Amino acid sequence: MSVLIDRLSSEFLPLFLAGMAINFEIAGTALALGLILGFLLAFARLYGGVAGTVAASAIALMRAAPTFVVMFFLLNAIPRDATLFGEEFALSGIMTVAISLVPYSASYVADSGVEALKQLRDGSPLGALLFLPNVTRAFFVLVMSSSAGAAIGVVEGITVILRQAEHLPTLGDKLVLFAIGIVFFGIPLQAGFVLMSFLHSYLRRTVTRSPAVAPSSDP
Amino acid sequence: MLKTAPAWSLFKNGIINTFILIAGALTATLVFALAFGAAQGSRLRLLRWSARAVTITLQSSPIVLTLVIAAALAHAVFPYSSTVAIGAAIMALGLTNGANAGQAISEAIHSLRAEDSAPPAGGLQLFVGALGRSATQIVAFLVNATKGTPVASFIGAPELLSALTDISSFSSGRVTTYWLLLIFYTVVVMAVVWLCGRIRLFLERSRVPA
Repeated sequence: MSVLIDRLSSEFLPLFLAGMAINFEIAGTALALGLILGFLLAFARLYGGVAGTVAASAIALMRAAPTFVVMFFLLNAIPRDATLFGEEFALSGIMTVAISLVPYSASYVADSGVEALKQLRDGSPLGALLFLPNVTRAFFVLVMSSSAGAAIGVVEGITVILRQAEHLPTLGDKLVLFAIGIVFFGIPLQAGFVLMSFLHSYLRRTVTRSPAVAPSSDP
Repeated sequence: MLKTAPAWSLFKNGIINTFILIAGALTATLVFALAFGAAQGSRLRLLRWSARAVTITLQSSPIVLTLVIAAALAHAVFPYSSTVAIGAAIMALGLTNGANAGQAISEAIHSLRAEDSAPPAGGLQLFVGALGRSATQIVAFLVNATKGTPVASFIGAPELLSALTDISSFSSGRVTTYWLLLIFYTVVVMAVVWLCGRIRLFLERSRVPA
């Protein structure tokens, strides 16, 4: 182990942590865009009619689109000199990965949003508040999925690990390095699951104490 | 785009390899799900905890890293070939999604045990009941495994994404190529969603009557 630590470059840890910050940045951007698009689709679905049908079809398509393929599509199908409203519109690597995750995040938000709005309409704020832990879960899925950026050269956490692994001579050393990566990704993920569980319990307690959820308040 | 013989050959092989990869990933996910579900739902503490530790490890590893680890281990044993790359990808996708689906099965086993109406001795009947109860989760991870198959190109598996990337490097029509790729995978995933829906119905019908 100490031999491995000697072999790891002194910049490894700061680079890896900076790379992990990129994973969180990508996930945050994808979730923010997904929340905007997902809620628009959720409202359209609940509105019904033509808008509802179009929204349902769009959600089904987005649910089926694989992130990795969408990422390569965005990378290769958008011309380098593309313009939007007269302005240059070249996506950075980070934005390419973030936007490739939007179909997943928007369809997830739309599905959870429709469920939450229905629960709210039926007089069940607790059911509606389940939207928050669901979104937290989606955020951590997005953090893990953002490692796809390694395939297009985005310097996120996994890219840093893979570049460092190239300098290690034995498979054993590489496996230990990969294990370090799993631990570093695992800590925020498992902490997130614990946070989600606490949030769920807290919301349940808060809502059940609230007089607004008494059976008599139902229409 | 596909007018030359090498391009057509790459495209054809890419499609065949993609279907092999999808079939393999679905089978591996199902097999690992059953194994992890049985292990985590077991009354043997050591077996249960070991399966739980493997599940947490797999959940904590981004899929790209899991693929790289699977490829590194496979190449340590076998010389590099496209078959080995596809095999490693199938194992990685199956393990990742199977562990998660297995966790859902084990939670269903525990919930059935906690219910008064559950069969007291457990066994096969309990396990089949748990499969029915966790059918939605199993199907979700089967679909997830299918959606994950293009990532296999990262470790050199010659599936359609990899083939079309090669084709676009020496032929024209890059935008058409990637439109074709996006449509192909979206349609395939939708077909798998439909197929999995049928499996879910079958599993739900096999639930133990309360």
